[in-house]
This record gives sequence, C-alpha cells and structure tokens, in this order.
Amino acid sequence: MADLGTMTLMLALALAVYAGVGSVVGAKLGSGDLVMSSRRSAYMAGLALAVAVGALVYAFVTHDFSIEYVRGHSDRAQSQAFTWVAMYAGNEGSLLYITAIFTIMSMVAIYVSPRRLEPSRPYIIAVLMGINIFFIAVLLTLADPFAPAAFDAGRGIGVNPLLRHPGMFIHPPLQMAGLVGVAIPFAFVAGAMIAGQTRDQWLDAARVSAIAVWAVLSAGVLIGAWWAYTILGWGGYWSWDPIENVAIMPWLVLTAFIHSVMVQKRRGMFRMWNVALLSMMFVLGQFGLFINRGGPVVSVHSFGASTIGSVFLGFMLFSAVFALVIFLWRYPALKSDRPLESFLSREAAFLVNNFLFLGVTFVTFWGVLFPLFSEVANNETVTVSAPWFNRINGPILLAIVILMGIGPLLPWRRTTMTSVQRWLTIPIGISVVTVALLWISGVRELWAVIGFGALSLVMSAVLEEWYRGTMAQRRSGHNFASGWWRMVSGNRPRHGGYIVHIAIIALGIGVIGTNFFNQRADVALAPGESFTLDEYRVEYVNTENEQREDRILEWAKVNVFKGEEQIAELAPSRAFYPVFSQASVRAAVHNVPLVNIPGIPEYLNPGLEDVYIVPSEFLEDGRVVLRISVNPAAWWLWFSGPIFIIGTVIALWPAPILERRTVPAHRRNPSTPQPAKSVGV
Amino acid sequence: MISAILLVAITPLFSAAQIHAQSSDSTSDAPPTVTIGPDQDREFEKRAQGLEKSLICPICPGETLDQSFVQISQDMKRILREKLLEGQDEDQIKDFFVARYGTSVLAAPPRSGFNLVTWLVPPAGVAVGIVLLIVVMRQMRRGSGTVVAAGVGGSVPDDGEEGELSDYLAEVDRDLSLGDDSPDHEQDDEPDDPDDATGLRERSSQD
Repeated sequence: MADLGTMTLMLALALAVYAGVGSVVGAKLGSGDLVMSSRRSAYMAGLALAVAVGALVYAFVTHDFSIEYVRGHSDRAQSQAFTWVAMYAGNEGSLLYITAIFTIMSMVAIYVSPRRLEPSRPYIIAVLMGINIFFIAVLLTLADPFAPAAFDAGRGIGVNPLLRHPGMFIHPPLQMAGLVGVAIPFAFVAGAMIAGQTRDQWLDAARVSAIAVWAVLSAGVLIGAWWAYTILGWGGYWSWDPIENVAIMPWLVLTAFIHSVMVQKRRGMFRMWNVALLSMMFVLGQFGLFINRGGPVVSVHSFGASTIGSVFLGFMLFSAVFALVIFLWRYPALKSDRPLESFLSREAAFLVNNFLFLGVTFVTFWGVLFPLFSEVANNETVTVSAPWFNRINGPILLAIVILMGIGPLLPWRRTTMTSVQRWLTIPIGISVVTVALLWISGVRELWAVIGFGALSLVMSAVLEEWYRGTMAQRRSGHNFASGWWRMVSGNRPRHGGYIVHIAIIALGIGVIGTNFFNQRADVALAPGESFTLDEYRVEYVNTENEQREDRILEWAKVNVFKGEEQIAELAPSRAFYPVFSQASVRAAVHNVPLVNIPGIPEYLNPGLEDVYIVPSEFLEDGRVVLRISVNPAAWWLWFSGPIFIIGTVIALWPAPILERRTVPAHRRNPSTPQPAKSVGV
Repeated sequence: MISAILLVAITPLFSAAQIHAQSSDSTSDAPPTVTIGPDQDREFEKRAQGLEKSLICPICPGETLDQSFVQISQDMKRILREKLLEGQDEDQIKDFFVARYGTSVLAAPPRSGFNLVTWLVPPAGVAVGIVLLIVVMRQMRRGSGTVVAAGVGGSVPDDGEEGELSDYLAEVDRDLSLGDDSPDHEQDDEPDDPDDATGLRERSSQD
C-alpha cells in the first residue's frame, strides 16, 4: 500500500505539472487541444490523489504498522470506526487530505465554471495547479505519509485521546476543506485577471464558490466549537486560541466579500475592492496553514514542532507577492462603473460592513502576532488570550450586529428621510423596548443588554420586511406560507442572506447567554452528597469504572433535580490513557427546555439552559470533583447551525428556468404596491 | 506532551507542591463538599472565577486556569482563593503569580510599559481605518466611475432623472457587452430603487 501511495503521489505531481504548464502554453499558442488535455490531466490529478488517500485509509483499516504514520496514529485497541478517519489525525496524513480535497474541489470548480470564463480557464487551472504542486511536493519530500516505520512492532501508538470523539468524523474534514478552499474563489479572480477578463466575468463563479466555501468553513467552525464544548470539559467552546484565530480570519474576510460582491453584482462598483478582498483572504488562508504546520505559536491544536513551517512561510510570502503583482498589474482596469451616490445607502452600508469585518480581522491578526513581536522586540514572553480578544473584538462585533439590523433596510443608491422613517421606526422602537424591558426586569449586565437590543433590532428588521413582502403577495391572492415562499424565491440571495442573519441571531443569543450569565462551581462530593447551583440540585450517586485495553474509563453517576422533580440522570465520564499519560473527559449535558414540546427528542426542544457536568478528578477517598455549570442559551449556539445551512442553500439555489420566466405580478401591474421588493439586495 | 512533562519539572513545582500540601489541609476544614471554593458567597466565587479566567495555566499551551484541570492549575485555583480570603485584591494576586511564573501567566498583557502597545494598536488601527473609510467614500462619491462619470458630470446627481437614465444606459451597456448566462442573473433585473416613484420609472423603462 505504501508503494501504491507514493506512486500515485508522484503521478499526481506529474499530472499537476503538466496541467499547469500545458494550459498556459496552450493558451498562449492558441492550441485548444493542449488546453483541453491539460484540463483533463487536472481531473486525473484529482483522481490520483483520491487513490493515494484510499491507500492510506486502507493501510489504517488493515493495521499496516510498517508505515510510520499508521504506527504513530492508530492501534488495534481503538474502535474500528476511528481507524477510518485516523488518516487526518496527524501532520502528514492531514496534509494529504488537504491536498486531495483541494484538488477535488478544483476539479469541480473547473468543471462547473461558466462558459464566459473560457478565456480565463487555462490560467485558473494554472493557479490551482500551482498550489497543488506545492502541496504534493511537500508531501513527497518533507511530510511523506507513506514513509516506512523504523521497525514493525506489530502494534501502534494510537490516536490522541482528544481526537476520539464523533466530532472527529466531521470537524477536521470540513475545517480543512474550508481553509484550503478559500483558494478557489481566489483562483477564479486571479485567472480572470491574468487573462484580462477584468470586468464582471468572474463575479458569479467567485461569488458562488465563495459562499459554498463560506458554508463549509462556518459548519467546520461550529462543529469544532460543539466538540470543544463536550470534550475539553471547561464548558466553553471558543477560546481565541491562535489556531482558532487563524481559522476565523479567512472566514471574516470571506464574509466581507460575500457582502461586498453584491454591490459589484448589482451596481458595478467595488470591483477593485473585491479583488483585493479575495487576495487578502487567500494569503490569510496560507498564513493559517503556516501557523498550523509548525508555526511559532503555541496552541492546543498545532501539529507539534515540525520543520516544514518555514516552507509554508515561504509559500505564504510567495502567494502574497503573486496576489499583489496581479492586483497592481490590473489595477487601472478595475474602476467602478458608478460613483457612490450617498453615504446613507446600501452601498455605503456594505462598505462599513467590510470595514468592520476587516477591523475584527486586523485585531485578531495583531493578537496572534503580538506574542512573537514581544518576544523579539522586548524579550518578554506574553500571552494574548480570551480576555484581550473579548475586550477589543467585542465592541466591533456588536457594531456589526447593529449594522446587520440597519443595513438591509437602506435602499440602494440613496435614501430619503421618509424611507428611513418608514423602515427603521419599528425595528429601532422594538430594540429600545427590548433594552428597557431587560433593564427593568433587573438584568444589569450592560453589554449583554445592549447586545440583546442589537439582536432584536436585526430580528425585527427581517420580520418587518418579510411581513410587508408577504402581505404584498397576499394581496395578489396567496396565503401566508405561499406568499412568503414566493417572496423568498423572488430574490434568493437576499432572503437566503436574511435566514443566515437569523442564524447569527441564534448564535448571538447563545454567545451572550453563555458568556454573561453562566454559573459554575467546582465541588468535591462523596457518594450520596449533593450540591445546589442556581435552581438545580446535583446528587452524586457513585462511580463505576472499566479497564479497557488502552484506557481506564470512569463514570460518575449523578442525578439532577429541579425542585423536587428529578429531571435527568447523567453519567459524565473520564478516560485515562496510560500510553499518552493523558486524560480525556466527556461532559454530560442536559438541555433544560424553554418549552416542553412532547414527543420530540430532548435536544430538539428549544433550550433555556444547559446543566453541564464534568468529572475533573476522582479522589482516592471515594469523592469525585465535579465541575457543575449552568450555561444559559447554549442550545441556541448549535441550533444556529442548521439555519446557517438552510440560508446558504437558499441563497445559492439556482432559480428554475420556468420560475425565471414568470413575470412577477408587480411587473405586470406597476401599481401593485410591493414594499419588500423596493429594498432589494 | 513530553515538553509539558519537562515544563512541569522545571517550573517551580516544589513550592507549588508545598502550598498544595497546606491547602489540602485547609480545605478539609472548609465545608466538606467544596474543594475549590466556598460557593456560599456568590460575590466571592465570581471574583475567584474572574481571576481563573485571567490567568494562564503555566504548563498547558494557552489554556486559562478555568479551562485546565491539571494539578498545577487546581493548586493555583486553591491558592488564589486563599489569597482572596486573606483580603488581597486581584492585582496583588496577579502580581504574586507573575513574580512566580513570568508575565506570560497573565491571559492578557498588562496595560503598562511595552505591553501597552498591544492595547493601543487596535484602537489606533480602527481610527486610521475610519479616516481611510471616510476618504475613500468621499472619493467614490465624487465619482471614480468611468462609464457614468461623463453622464453625471462628476457631481452628485441631485436630479433623479439624469442619474436614472445614465444608470439605465450603463445597465444596457453591461448586458450587451457581457451577455450574462449565469442562472441568477435575471432576478437581478428587478428594480432596486426604494423610492416608489423613481422605482416605477425604472421599472417601466426596463419593461
């Protein structure tokens, strides 16, 4: 298997080089055949890499410990399911995964790229293959997943205990695909720039691929947060760790782009800016890879001190220069079609949105770099962690939420005071009332109150527009549901975006709830003793344990009471792995529902708060140290995930041919009032 | 992991272990159910947990005390509670740990000396950004547009009629030159002007 793997890697390298060089030469010589054969060879490179991945997975599943990477990241004791995904548990294998998924995404991107990009396609392929060649070359030289083990002991070391979690099946593949995927929209725009298609030919391809990558990245981050919540055992889900930060930076720039690209799509403005955003995002993606692969920053996630860090640094710098050269070269051709007409317009709101997102990116970047800077310039080791990021990024994020409420209600081009009054009175009124009600009811966390006010602004703005839009449809004879749906399908990008905004509201509720209102206690309980936190009494029953081949498992059985009523029987656990001399805990989480809808699973009930229990120590005298937390609104964090996906799918779903031909009622009859349309994205 | 173990060996574990020995004695006097701190006093516990969030576990990469359950963090949690009970304030306790483990034990750099730079750069960056944003917006408003600028005459179009017309011409220009075949192009043809009157004008001109 090792030989097959290495051979397919070499084959993939040859195919990628041929595809990259051939397509450029073919384009220059005007040889359509050469371009076509290059394109097919790019597809074949994807196939070869898929075989290489298959070879590594096969080696894992068959316990081929003669391969060093397999020996280091699996053993016979771990459950069979995890051997299927152990291939991306370490540096070499995850790099192979990244290479393969990137090439496969490239295949899809090339295959579905619109015909109008035909002149650019050879260069798009060349950019994609250039990145690909770099990855494969690193795999063959510095990080060979198929390298033989020094000796075949017939057994392996096993995978890091923290990775033995269902999250392992989804989070790493999505996260890595998203991070490397940011290169795809960049490749579209870079190829188009090189070929001289500097107008909007690349726009749809870049926009659609950017939103797709955005969705993958968002899902990856969210599932990672959920994983951290259930396994790291401290009740949190985001800690502004350097690796989290480098993953969120491309996401932030991508988010800025999928907003500002709408201005280019609708108004022919911000062209230059969008090219710059995609370039920035690409370089930040490379920066993330560098930090991730033996970068100089300490993190829970890093792959340890590997020597390939400098290679990734070099590639990042090369990417930055490449993107900058292309940008400066085509700079004169990227002028806007129109001037900005008013500071109070949708365009201006998008510009402010971009400014804020880049602000968060800049702050995060600075926070990641400052420890290095301090070490070099001041010879002092410092830590820049959650308190710093919360303090600085918190207000900017709040501003983004407020803008999210106001921006969509501003019309394109310019706004009259009557229009502002007409659209903003209700949302602003509702948010003021929300703030007042919270304050009167005794909530004294100022930032949380303002945050909830901002979220209610966003929600009421969306609902207001949906209400008016649906009512307009109702006047032409539809009921609420079908009227709503007609309105949504009339402009999917906009209403899909609103649904994503609703997901952000859910996320915001969770973030505010868990950060400002959580309660926690670390207590040692003897069997039969109980402890009361908030209105929950937690009773420790006993501990059971089990010796497995690779670990010692201990469960603390606990009962949770609310008043006199027992609401849950939980068994949080802790596993100790002697080989790693490392313990891994598994939190028990009970979602206390806001309203109890009978007949559906507990986790689907809208949550009020989580009772979250982790056993942190089992003491020798038979007591157990439990961390008991009450995390308000934590359910809403995870609830936002499916809404994100629904919104993205609606935004990206191509309109069916028939529907596109249908002339909306308001066009047939211009006198039909249709307020929702009038503020269209 | 190996580096973590090494770190354990070289950090002033000796003294920490001594304190641990003392503190485990003292916790046995404390209410029997609570190891780390008496939760009876909400305010006290809130302060203690605030400190836990602002101190880093010295041997775990980038984890604050409240995230970490290794022995040394458990000891530090006990120590900081004892010091709070003795009446020390947050700064004194932080200083105690800084003297022991260095500045990196703080989760955020102190706002003094060289480290002030960490705190000042972001607001400065945002301020520069705001200035840039305003400059860029003013410039865009003056009209960097190549296609329409001539029609608008480089000034703000206060006359809706003229702006409308040149926009429409630009739209036609775009459609002709680009021949968009993307699936979501057509829904873009919808009018976007909020103002009903001008919106109707644009609509009728397109239909």
